[in-house]
Amino acid sequence: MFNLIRQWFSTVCCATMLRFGAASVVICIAFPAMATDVKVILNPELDQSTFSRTQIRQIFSARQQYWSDGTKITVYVLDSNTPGHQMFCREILQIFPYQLERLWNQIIYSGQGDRPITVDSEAEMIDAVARTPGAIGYAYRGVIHSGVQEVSIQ
Amino acid sequence: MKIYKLLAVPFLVYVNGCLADSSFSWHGFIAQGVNQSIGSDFIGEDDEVSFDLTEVGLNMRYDINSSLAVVGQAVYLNGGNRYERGARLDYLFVDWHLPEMGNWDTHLQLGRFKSPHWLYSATRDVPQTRSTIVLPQSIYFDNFRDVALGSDGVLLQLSRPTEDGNLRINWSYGRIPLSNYQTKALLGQFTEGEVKQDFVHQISVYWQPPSLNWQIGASWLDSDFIYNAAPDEFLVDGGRSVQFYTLSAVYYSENWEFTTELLGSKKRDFGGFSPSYYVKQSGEGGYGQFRYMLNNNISVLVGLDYFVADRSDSNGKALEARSEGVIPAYFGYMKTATVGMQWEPYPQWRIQAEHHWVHGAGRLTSIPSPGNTPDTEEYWQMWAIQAMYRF
Repeated sequence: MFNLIRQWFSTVCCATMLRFGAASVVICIAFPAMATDVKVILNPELDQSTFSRTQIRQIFSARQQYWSDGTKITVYVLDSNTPGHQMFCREILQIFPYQLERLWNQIIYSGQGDRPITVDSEAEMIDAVARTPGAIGYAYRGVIHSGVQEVSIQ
Repeated sequence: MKIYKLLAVPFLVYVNGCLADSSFSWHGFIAQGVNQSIGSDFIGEDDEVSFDLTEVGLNMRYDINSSLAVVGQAVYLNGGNRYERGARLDYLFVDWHLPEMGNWDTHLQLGRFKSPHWLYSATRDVPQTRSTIVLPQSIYFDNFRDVALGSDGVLLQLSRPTEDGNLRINWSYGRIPLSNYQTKALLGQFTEGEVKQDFVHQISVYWQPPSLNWQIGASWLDSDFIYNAAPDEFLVDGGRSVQFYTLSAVYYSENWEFTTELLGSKKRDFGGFSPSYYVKQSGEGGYGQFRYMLNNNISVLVGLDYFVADRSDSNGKALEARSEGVIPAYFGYMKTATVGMQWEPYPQWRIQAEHHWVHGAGRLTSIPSPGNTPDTEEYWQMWAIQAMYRF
């Protein structure tokens, strides 16, 4: 019996390692600059650049709609199906992408806030964050983030 | 008079300043489907395939300033016999975001607010947020959709998001007017009086750990209804008092999620059918749903739902005896098995399909009476396919 459990456990572990190993290889080949390098970016006019993970979750889930000075927060995201958005959810927010959709639905359809604005590319995201007062988004460290400030998460 | 002028000047300056920061946003949804109930008039009569599955909604939010907003939604619904068809104002309230106190984020809503107390309460009106087209009837009884969705009154929402987890507390008090349709659905087609909700008082608490990968919750509801009989009808004045208790849990995994809600209820009916009529019942119900995500766009679901109106009469025999055979025993319970799928071909689109196998008729709009013979068998089925678009 013990051997059977041990055998089953090692089979599951191997399968899991193979699965996630394969996924990591695919991600690293397809998006070499992305792995563990997602950064939250802010409009340069905003004073605050250090946030807790809870604050970042509150902002990107649309629960926090305004900065402390009363400026409206404009959140930019990539399409939910893009690898960039999936990685942002997992690495920065540390939730599954479908959970973020649920949080948006709860906020938007109970009238407590607006859905983030979806942009088509990372370049468009950086440009929009740079030009829009109170804007926040995300990008990859490998890309030169001219005109925006990077956020430090503590 | 001067004092009013003195007060009016700073108030107008304040309002002007507020409006300078104002913003307006609006969203909506359109959904159309086809459905059929077989062996029951739950959706339509005579087992017909029906296109009575239309949902159109428009909601808006007007931010007066960073802490004050006006929010509303109007919808047009056609769900066959499931609920009243037509347009209605789902909610319209003033949302006041109070200053943060000790990490507590607080919203106070006044007007026709939207209930946040059950898992799908806040989003049950939006097709694309529902796990299934027809939600588990043990808790989300379609006949009570408009009563359960919201109330005219006050809602206080407190949340405390911290690195140690998220705590949410909701409290509300209000009442909602019932239409003539809802009165007849509750008491029968020949009812001539009117049902009024005296009050509904609700509290709910939800907790999520820092990982946010699971959530537990509990809620309590207390409500009284009054029936004012018409002068020349066979019913007399009466009322109903109900209490609901729910427990819920959700687990989120990489490719699957599990959702469950359990309900305990207490109901006291008095008057109505005769001045001495009095029935006290404790019911129970609940559902479990398991969803597996095949990829980012397609998921499949299996679910079980259970409801019994009177825990001490789980097979409905006492109900049948009390009504002298007019109400069959299987109207005392309802057990449903569901399979479903969701497909999101584009970000704003969803196609949803499902099939339900049902045993019992405890959650139907039409209740048998000497003048009303509903067409529902002990075992029946229903299916639905719906296309949804949000904007």
